[in-house]
Amino acid sequence: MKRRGLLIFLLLIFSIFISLFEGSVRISLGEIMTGSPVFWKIRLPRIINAFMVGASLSLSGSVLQALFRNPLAEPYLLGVSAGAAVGVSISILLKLAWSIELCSFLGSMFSLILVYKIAVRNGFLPTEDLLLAGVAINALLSALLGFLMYMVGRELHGLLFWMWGSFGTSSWGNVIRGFPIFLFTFFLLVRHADDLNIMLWGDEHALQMGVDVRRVKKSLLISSSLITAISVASSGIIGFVGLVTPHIVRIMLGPDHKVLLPFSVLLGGGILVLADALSRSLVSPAEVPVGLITALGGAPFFIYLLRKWRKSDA
Amino acid sequence: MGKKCLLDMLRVKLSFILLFLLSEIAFSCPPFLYDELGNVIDVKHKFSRIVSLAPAITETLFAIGAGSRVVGVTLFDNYPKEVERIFKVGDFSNPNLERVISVKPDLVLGISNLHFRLMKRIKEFGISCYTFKLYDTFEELYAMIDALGKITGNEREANLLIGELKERIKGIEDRGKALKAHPKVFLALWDSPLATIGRRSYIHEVIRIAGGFSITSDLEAYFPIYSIERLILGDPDIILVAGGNGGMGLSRDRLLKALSGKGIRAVERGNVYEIDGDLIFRLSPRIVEGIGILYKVFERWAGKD
Repeated sequence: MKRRGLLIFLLLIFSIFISLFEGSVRISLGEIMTGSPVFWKIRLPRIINAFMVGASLSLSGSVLQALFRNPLAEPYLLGVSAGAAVGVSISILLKLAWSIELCSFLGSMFSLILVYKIAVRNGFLPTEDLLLAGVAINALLSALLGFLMYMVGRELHGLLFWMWGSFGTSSWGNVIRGFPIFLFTFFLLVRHADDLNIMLWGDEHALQMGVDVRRVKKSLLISSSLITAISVASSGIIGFVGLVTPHIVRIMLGPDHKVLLPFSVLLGGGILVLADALSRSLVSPAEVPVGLITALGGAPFFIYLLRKWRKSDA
Repeated sequence: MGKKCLLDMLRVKLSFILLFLLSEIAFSCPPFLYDELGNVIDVKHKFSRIVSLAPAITETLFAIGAGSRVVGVTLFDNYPKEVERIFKVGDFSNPNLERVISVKPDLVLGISNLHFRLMKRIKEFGISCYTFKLYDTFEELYAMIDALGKITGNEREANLLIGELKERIKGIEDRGKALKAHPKVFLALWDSPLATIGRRSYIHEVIRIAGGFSITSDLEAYFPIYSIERLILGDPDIILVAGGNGGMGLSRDRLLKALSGKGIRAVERGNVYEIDGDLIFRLSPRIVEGIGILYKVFERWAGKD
């Protein structure tokens, strides 16, 4: 068990190392020491932002999978990302360049509240209703986004690449804005790790165990979509990390959320840092959207793990 | 006067709305140029290391004699020949920030709707930025040449270029008007689905100058999808295929495969022509060559009937 945890650590360190020295511009150690702006002002914030986004998406993935008791739950399920993307598009169409992050957050919260209002029944959130509402709102907002792009296209064409996920413009500003929210959410979620463990057995069981299910669900949903919105605002839509990471951690280290949450952060961050390194070196000087890398690399690996897992079960 | 200009600059930085209100004053204040994103350029400054993030901008810089100062271009740049040896900073739609910074430019030029995120980052390195709108109207081309002339100090060359372009275009326009017949034209961007250019495109204007009439100039959307039924109904005399890099890489053969045997008159009469997309879709000085080619196609058609 400990050795497996160590493996995740090693992967993280490996990805960061690769990422620091692999890029579209070669930087020597000497240049780094003498304060190369390409390293300190572009590459480093980019790596940190990639880590944060990977960690955030994996964290919300872990929480949503537990809340919905559904292995397919992921940060995008609730339409949070589509809502964020619509918010970003509107802010650009209205030429409110300063408010991209804010609009992204408003868009994601709007879609979340919409989903919540549709699904809520007598103050409770039945899992199936929430999932269905999420799927419907996600489809609606994605179509709206497509329509906006088709009709008023030009202004949004600059976003096409960003929509597939890119850390190309990550700055210290992104890191500074995102980090406090990420840290706060992380500790909030870890504090609820026990509640999440109990809620895996169902709402009624959790109620009997003294968990205020309504309140906990609400605060977990809001905080996990908050970090997703911050991620989407800074780097677009990156799928698969949030879905795969928690599963890998569960297979390696078990389902206890006290372990699952921190290691999802480490693994998810490591995976996305590595994916970003690939995205900027595969076809350098051009870049492959990082969302494509996570999907291309993540899916086969996930299938392999699933099969291995089943075999050892039998 | 000088103080007033500075004050104006500060206000422009404070608000984008003010930018539009103040543009009148800005005009009366020649040393500064303002773009859509609020970038300000001091025209008196001599820029010596320029990165161009758009082929149309690169072509214009070379056309006004500022090509030797270009130190970075995109992978899409292919004209003039000299760009082969210039450092590539990445894709047109997604240039690589590390590579842009690493050539140590003092000025980065781009397209406002594509590069706004990147420009924000580049500015943080104390590098001057300026963007153009190059997609809606023909006038944007003249505005870009004019601005590039001012920015590079090659104003005389820029004015000469604008004059020459206007004259050549006027010449083609006159000959286009004099054609015996004006063909109805459909421009195909892609075959599945059949896609074309919509209302906002300047290419309808390009077709009009060359003596034709674009049948899709009333469509909403930038690159609308067009049905084959509508194409039969619209009954164009000529179908143009935007080939090469500039379009989406559609070829004449490919389009013919999709359209043949459907009773489309232009296809049956062999009036389908592939044109170099770079000459049409790049709003650069070479557009006049594209217009010239279109005129020749239309002239041949008019002679046929």
